[in-house]
Amino acid sequence: MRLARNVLEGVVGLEIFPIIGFIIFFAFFIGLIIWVVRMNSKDADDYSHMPLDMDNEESLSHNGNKS
Amino acid sequence: MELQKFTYDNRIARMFLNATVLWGIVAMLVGLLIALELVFPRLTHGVSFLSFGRLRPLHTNAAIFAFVGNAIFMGIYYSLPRLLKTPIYSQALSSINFWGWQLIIVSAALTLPFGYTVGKEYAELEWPIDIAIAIVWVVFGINLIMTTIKRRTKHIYVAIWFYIATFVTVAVLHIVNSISIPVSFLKSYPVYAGVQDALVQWWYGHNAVAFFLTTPFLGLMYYFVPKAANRPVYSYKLSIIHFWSLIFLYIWAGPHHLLYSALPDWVQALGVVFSVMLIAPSWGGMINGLLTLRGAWDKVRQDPVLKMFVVGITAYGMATFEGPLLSLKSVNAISHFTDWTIAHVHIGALGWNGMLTFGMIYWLLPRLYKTKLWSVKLANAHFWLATTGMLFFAIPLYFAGITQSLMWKEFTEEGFLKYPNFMETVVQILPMYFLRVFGGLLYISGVVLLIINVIKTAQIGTFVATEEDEAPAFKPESISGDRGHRRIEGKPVLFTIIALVVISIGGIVQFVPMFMVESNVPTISAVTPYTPLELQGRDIYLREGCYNCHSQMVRPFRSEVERYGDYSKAGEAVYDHPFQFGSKRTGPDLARAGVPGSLVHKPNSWHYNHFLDPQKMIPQSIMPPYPWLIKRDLDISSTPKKIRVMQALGVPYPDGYDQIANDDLMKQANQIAQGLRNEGIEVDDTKEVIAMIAYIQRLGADIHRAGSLTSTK
Repeated sequence: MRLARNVLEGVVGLEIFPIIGFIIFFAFFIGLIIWVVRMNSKDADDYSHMPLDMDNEESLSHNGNKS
Repeated sequence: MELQKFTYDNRIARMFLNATVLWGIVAMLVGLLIALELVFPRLTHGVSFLSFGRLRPLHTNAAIFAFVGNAIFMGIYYSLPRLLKTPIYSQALSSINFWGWQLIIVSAALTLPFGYTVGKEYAELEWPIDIAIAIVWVVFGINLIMTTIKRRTKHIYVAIWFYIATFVTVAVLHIVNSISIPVSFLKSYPVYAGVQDALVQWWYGHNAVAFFLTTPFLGLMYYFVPKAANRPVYSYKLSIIHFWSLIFLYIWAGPHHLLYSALPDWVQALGVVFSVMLIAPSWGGMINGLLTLRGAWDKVRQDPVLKMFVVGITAYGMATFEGPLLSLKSVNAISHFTDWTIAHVHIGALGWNGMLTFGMIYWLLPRLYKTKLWSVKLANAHFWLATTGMLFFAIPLYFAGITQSLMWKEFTEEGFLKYPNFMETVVQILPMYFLRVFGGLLYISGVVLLIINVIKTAQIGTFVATEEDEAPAFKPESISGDRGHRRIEGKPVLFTIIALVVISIGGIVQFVPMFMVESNVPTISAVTPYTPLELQGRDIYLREGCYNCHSQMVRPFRSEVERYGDYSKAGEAVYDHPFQFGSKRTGPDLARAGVPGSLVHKPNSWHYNHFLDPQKMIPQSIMPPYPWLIKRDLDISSTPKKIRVMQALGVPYPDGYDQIANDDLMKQANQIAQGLRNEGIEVDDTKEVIAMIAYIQRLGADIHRAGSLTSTK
């Protein structure tokens, strides 16, 4: 612990931490965008129907409070 | 493909639903009571366990962990098995989850009003309860992850990502922030001190908002809004981007609760930058939620469920626009320590969490009881009461916050504070406090209508304990060929680990330098540990929840330095386990209460009379009286243990000091009591009020005595 403290204390320019933080995020975000853009739209559409995908939904909905 | 039959258990969802409603009304009634106490400070005169400082933590804990907590479990236990086409992994674990959580809530209600508290906001519960929370939370996590592993669907729907991120992050936050060393069964000191404790606490506090009040509800939104509108979510791709960016960004934003404090500037800057960026993923969620209703707006007019969802999601959008705004240093300079913060959080709590919860309940009731909702009219009335109640609550408080802050900062032409008397600024905003009570009352009457509907619907319907469904079995090998995100989605454990890494980065980048690099907390040689009497007094300060109304952090503004004294430095709080910077100034800041010449410095006899009867000293004061401090004897049997724990935490008391600490304590107590007796006040050395006075007179005294700052670095 003491050793780590001494080492870190010697690090010059801790001010660049915010910049490092921003770069990490930016890289992460760009990677994410690429992933999602390349994603198959048909799959995305299928996934988005998952909550609605219930066999007994019909029978339930007209028992519900909706008009 | 062969279809497998299985059942969904509705009993656990119903149990959590009932608990949500029950604890919801309790949390709100406690809130109403403390709102009333602010306008009628003598309302619960002399009843220690009903005083504002004791009940405010009960209100916040009950609203967050009891009301919203049970609503989260209700929604997850209902939606999770249906989205994964499999029963919940273990009914036994579900039961432990339910009863364990209720037991924790009951223990909170039995400890907080009686002053058993750690003294850190929203993390007030003492260590045995903290351990219980960790255990029950892990039980929930096992149930969640194991159910996901045992699923019959290939893809894990986005709602469940939010559930998993919630589980992982809340576990990390709770454990890291709660580490403390016990003094006794219901008393402990946190291992962190001062600004480091503040950093950890607001990392926790901010992310409790993020991962307890936001991510689980976004997950629930992604299930219940499509269900209620009978439409798929607007953009699934948007949900992926918004999920990962949200959990990554949120964790960095905690330091925006400490702007202009003694926290190093670079940490504050990080907090601001990431808070501003947060608006993008937050609004991604809001837009996705609202646009899911595209083409269904005609339904919104008739269906109270959708109405509540719309107002809830809109409130989320408002609160997450306001959050980045409040994180800007220039805005924060005005908003911080005022009622603006209270208004902001209630838009989130009453609007986002409240409305979404009510919407889910109204949607679930007909399905759980296989009938129509008993009264749609009543639900519509609830909607209007909740919406207007929220506005009547928040708008006056925005007005109060800005008004009071500007009054604190106003100078006369001659360069003096225009309102040097803090009381003037309080009197100015009291009408707004009355309006807040009215708003709260409206909101609570709405919940009463909900309770009637819950009971009546249960009476007219028959409870569907289990529902049957069928689906083909899932073959894990079908995902082995996938790449990229699809591969992660198919592997819940890997997904959990990646989520853990993503949420850890921000915390690590901020914590490691704060704890390792000494220059971040410059020590001040004049600052010495508290005397035993002051330490005991400080524990009474914590017990009474003084930090709920009094900050101990003078920000470096001319208006604050003029009013209170020298601005606060990081080195002043190095022995403060826990820190007591506070987040709200219902009363004046106390960081310089022990510095002669400060506007807040008062003699011992004044404090004695003020604790006994605040209105006798300041007729318009809204502080409650503390007669029990005058009557009760200080428990000094705990002193040696407290000194030993402090030593273990690195506070430099001399070796063996625990054995003689009480001698010093009695000496100092005698001195203070004798001074009071000389002024004609009948008081014993042994009373709690003596320790309290000793502590208050110590605040800021160290650096004042030293005359000027001496840094050892």
